[in-house]
Amino acid sequence: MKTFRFLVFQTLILFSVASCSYRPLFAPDEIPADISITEDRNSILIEPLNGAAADVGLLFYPGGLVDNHVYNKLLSGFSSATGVPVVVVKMPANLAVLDIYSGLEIVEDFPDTARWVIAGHSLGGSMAASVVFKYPDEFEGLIFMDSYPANSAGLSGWSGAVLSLFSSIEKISDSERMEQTLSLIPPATWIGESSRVYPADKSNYSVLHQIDGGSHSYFGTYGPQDGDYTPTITREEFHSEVIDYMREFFDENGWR
Amino acid sequence: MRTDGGNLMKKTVSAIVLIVLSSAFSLFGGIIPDGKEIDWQLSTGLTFMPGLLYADQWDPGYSGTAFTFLVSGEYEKITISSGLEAGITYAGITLLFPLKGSFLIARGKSLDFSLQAALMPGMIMARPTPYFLFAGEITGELKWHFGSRSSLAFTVGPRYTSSPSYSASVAPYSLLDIVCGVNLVILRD
Repeated sequence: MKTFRFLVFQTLILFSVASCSYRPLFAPDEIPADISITEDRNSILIEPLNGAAADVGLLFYPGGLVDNHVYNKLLSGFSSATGVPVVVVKMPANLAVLDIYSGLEIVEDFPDTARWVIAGHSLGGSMAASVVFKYPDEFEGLIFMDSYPANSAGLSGWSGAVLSLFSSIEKISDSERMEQTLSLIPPATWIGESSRVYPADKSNYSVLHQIDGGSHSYFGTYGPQDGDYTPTITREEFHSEVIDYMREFFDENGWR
Repeated sequence: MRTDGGNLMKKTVSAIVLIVLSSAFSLFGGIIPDGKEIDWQLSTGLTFMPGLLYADQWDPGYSGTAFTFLVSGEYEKITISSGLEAGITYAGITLLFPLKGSFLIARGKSLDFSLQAALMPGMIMARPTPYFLFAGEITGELKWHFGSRSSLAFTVGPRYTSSPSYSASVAPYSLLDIVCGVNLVILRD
């Protein structure tokens, strides 16, 4: 009986320690002054102060085992730059895989927002792709941040637009993984500073962009994450580039 | 180059487990008169947490689910329990270390009814350091004895949970839930 008790305690503690989430690392005054952040039990709403009711919204799925709030800084910067409200879906245990479709219920709380783009970081991006795979008509666009669809949720035939952002050269250096990723998303074009050309037909396409010198945890404001690469640019520079490409993606598709 | 982290968390968790458990059983051992028999029990089960308030605002919903493991000593009408509760919540994984007192109200042939009160210090599991968390609850427990050494316990009652450190540094975190638990209780040899 002592052995059983010991094993149960050890298992619970090891499970809990292994499931620690990264804490957010920013102060409240780092959020733009023109942004309002409110939250309830299930979601965090980031929107411009005194903003008009938006026609389009961004639904965001956090990465695995990071606090739901670590993206507030990046996403408030995006909302401030574009006027687009962002809804971050809170996930049980900070694991999107435990409640994949909960974002759809949250979207129903915004009846004035007719069009939605879904985004996700890491595990959150894969789960966001699974949502699009199952409900392809609910979203017009999908943004991956160091992420790709699960093999069972290929989106190569999806009529929407995809933006895929990679935090560093290391994230695209696995050619086999990249080949598999490209087979799971709509036809893709790389874009960068020297070539920011989007396809003329704004359906069933992907644009990919790799940021130089970032790290996986830079999409949020946390870390460094175990196994992450050492960045050579600042988090602020990284966020600025991400927001720039996200804003352009929204503009190119006529979402604002 | 890759980065590592994490030993501080393991040490913190280990220290809290040792302190809480040793305190609980030392206390219980101290109040039992010499020579009296204590019935020791192990119980394990699930606690479901439908919620009423979130951040002190009316916001009904589901707060999470927890796995519980308790060691209990029963002496006449009083049972003292301590152990571990690992929860899956919207703030992440939580660990609570319950110290629970139970008073037997009515005893039937196969059913017992008790009132329980519990204090539960613990933490929201975060890295590099966890957030302190505490909870308190008052529950009623109906225990059904279905064998000579085993029973099923059903509990229900209000629980208040709060994390001042999480509230101060991330977002308000206080919950009022109506917890519902089901536990398998085994009397030790």
